[in-house]
Amino acid sequence: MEKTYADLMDKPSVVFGISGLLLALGVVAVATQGASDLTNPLQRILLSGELFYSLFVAVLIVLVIIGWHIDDLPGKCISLAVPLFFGGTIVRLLLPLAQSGGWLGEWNGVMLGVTIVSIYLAWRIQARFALIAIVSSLYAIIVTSGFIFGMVDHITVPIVLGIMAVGAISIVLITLSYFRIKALIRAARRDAIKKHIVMGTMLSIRFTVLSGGAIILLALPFIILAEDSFRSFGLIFLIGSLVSMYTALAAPAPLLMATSDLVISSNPNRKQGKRR
Amino acid sequence: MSYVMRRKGMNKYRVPGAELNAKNSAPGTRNSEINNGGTDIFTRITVIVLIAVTWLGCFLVFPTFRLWLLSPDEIAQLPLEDRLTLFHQATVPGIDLAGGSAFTMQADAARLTDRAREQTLGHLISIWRTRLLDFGILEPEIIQNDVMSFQVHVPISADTGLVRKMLQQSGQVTLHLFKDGNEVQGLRQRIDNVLQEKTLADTNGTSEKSPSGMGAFSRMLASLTVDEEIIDIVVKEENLTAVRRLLADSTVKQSIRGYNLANPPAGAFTWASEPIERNGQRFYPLYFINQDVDLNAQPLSAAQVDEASEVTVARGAYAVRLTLQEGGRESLANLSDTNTGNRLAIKMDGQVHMTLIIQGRIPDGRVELPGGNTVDEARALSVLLMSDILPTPVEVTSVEMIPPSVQGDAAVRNGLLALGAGIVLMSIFFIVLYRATGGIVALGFVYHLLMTVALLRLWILAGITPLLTLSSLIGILFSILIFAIVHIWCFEQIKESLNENTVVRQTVALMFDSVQPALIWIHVLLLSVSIGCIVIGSEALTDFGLALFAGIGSSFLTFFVWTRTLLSALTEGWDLKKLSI
Repeated sequence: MEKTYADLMDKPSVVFGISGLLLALGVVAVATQGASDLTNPLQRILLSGELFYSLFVAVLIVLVIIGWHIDDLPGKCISLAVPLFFGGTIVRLLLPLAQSGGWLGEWNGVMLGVTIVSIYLAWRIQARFALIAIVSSLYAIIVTSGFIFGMVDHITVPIVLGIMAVGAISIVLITLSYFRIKALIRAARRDAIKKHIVMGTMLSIRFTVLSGGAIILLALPFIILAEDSFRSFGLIFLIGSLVSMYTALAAPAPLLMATSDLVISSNPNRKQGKRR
Repeated sequence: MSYVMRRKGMNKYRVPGAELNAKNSAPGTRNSEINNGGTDIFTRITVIVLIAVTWLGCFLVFPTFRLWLLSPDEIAQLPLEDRLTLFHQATVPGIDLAGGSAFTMQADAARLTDRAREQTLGHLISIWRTRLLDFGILEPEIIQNDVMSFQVHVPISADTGLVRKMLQQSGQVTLHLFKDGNEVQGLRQRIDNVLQEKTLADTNGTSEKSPSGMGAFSRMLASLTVDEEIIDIVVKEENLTAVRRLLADSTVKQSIRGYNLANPPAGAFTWASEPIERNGQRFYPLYFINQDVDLNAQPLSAAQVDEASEVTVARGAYAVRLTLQEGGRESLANLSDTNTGNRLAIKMDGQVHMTLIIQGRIPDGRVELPGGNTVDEARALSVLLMSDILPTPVEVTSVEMIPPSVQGDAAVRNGLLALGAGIVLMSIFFIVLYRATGGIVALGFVYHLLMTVALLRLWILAGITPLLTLSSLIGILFSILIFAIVHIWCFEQIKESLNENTVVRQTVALMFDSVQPALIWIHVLLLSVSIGCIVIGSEALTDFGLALFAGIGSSFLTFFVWTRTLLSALTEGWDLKKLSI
């Protein structure tokens, strides 16, 4: 299994191809959902902007915590997250105005713009690990939504929250792998980052697969024994476990590309763990 | 290029110094003996902490488990006070899991145009939602059945009496001056005369008997000292229907109208909101006050619930103190200034709730209303007064119990069965994978659930009432998965280390120390996200955030208090040579 995985990492185009295909399917499935498929409480929660805004805040929290502890960029991440938070809050406060003025489409566009700007700025400050964790999590959310939306009659608030939980599981799996990568980097600072990333992820393969297995074991009884909303929870976690596993294992592919220019400081006076 | 390596070949990537430390403090060495003294005390303290946390958890979960184990019939049979106490202390299931009460409402908006009706009813729904949410009734569902009929669903914990009040009452408070006592006597005489004339006409002209006669109106009235030693007109309970009928009679109405034209400003008979009991008999006060509003209390700047003062203590233990806004404050000051010595009635929904004698200028714009005998009654009144006034009259036509919205009780039962089966499967998975150490996690699942419910109770103690809904269940399921994931991560690393080091005790202790920062930060990340959901979200998102916070907090507690303590106690206390993992 480790050999197959290492070979795949050597050919990231295969990983990107599969990921792109899944993403395209997910986007199509999400985009083809009509408003009638959404229940009233979900429409209300979407129109109030609180779902997107809390997702945006969660992204900033991930940026700060992973950027701080894995990318070693606490100052940069906090100084980026704070203005972004205020920017996002201002956009959120404009929502009632947009609703009354009939500019809801424009508002969504601005919110999407804020998210894209956040991702771009995270890239500019070189918070690579945090950025890839965020993108992988959003990827897991879109792909899981694609599968789930095709299987349920109506999309409810708990279903959407379940899909968000799948995104969070991806973040947790990726972050725990990152901590292993980080330990490897600290243990052998002169080796190439690329080597640590692949090695750290390979050390985490068993953990990732076992975690996915545990999620499937919790999800299966819901699919077999339960009905109605409870069955959809089972479906979400079953598909989510597979997507999260895939995301956690595929995340090093873009990370390798993003860190190809990364070098570790050789200054012995620098505090251990500081990386440029 | 291939990155495949044998596991042993990966040793150089382990945390340096781990083995060295392990060897230095191996059993039998001096370091080990020194460490043993410290670790023994540390282990004992952690075991005491474990016992204390477990005891506290059991104490906190008791009301919730009691509620969940009672059937709906058993809950209904509990005395009202016990039931409300239980609902206040426990995590109550939401409408989707346990059903609740459904109020059918009829709005009177027939006279409005389509466009005005649409706006009015939209506003009405918004006011109902605000009132119920402000009172603390989470996730009310408001469904429009047809043009003017609505259904409002509230969870089982909601007090139906107070909900009815909040849905039906307009919430408008107006202040009216009393008419002079001599004028009231004059009007009484006039009504008696009119009724006498009518009786004569009936006797002469028709066969139909009128209930009235000479002094018919005055005969049914009595006098009683109600407030502030002033004698008021009251009606005995047995005469209530007759007096109401008389006042609704067209002849009497016409007579009052005529009297009002001759003696402006116009007055109107208005009933008090509550009867008075004297010597075991009920009396209903009837006031004659200015028909037109002398002062509108709304909009208010505050409606504060407090203990009743001397003015309202006779009408209940609690009062609601209203503070008028700047404009109202000035108007009240002027009104009180020019009418010192006169009597003022505070009217709400067509009934007089309070009367007071104006002692002098009221400069601070404060008025007190009786709030009832419980805090909840007073809070309901306060919420009602602070919200917008209902734009159209509304009537509650029926109240009935409704089943859970997820296809009935069977679906909920099967869902909980599936949750139990899932946890059992995961426990078996841990035992198969990690043997005896996995057994600690298997028991840890129970501990995790216990602590989750205990932390949910802490939210209640903090004044935030979470409902157990499908959204909360997602949060709890997610936290169970995080609990499993962090244990797999930790145990995998312990297993890998034990392949290299044979000294169990030190290896376990070192591995716990090395995984600690990662686990702390993962939990901090998820706790921060859950706080974000609580602060930003409403209804379902808040429920999710509250349950997620409780679940993740519980996962953290269980990992460090349960798993770590037990594993450390086993490896250090028993000095295990081999760990079953």
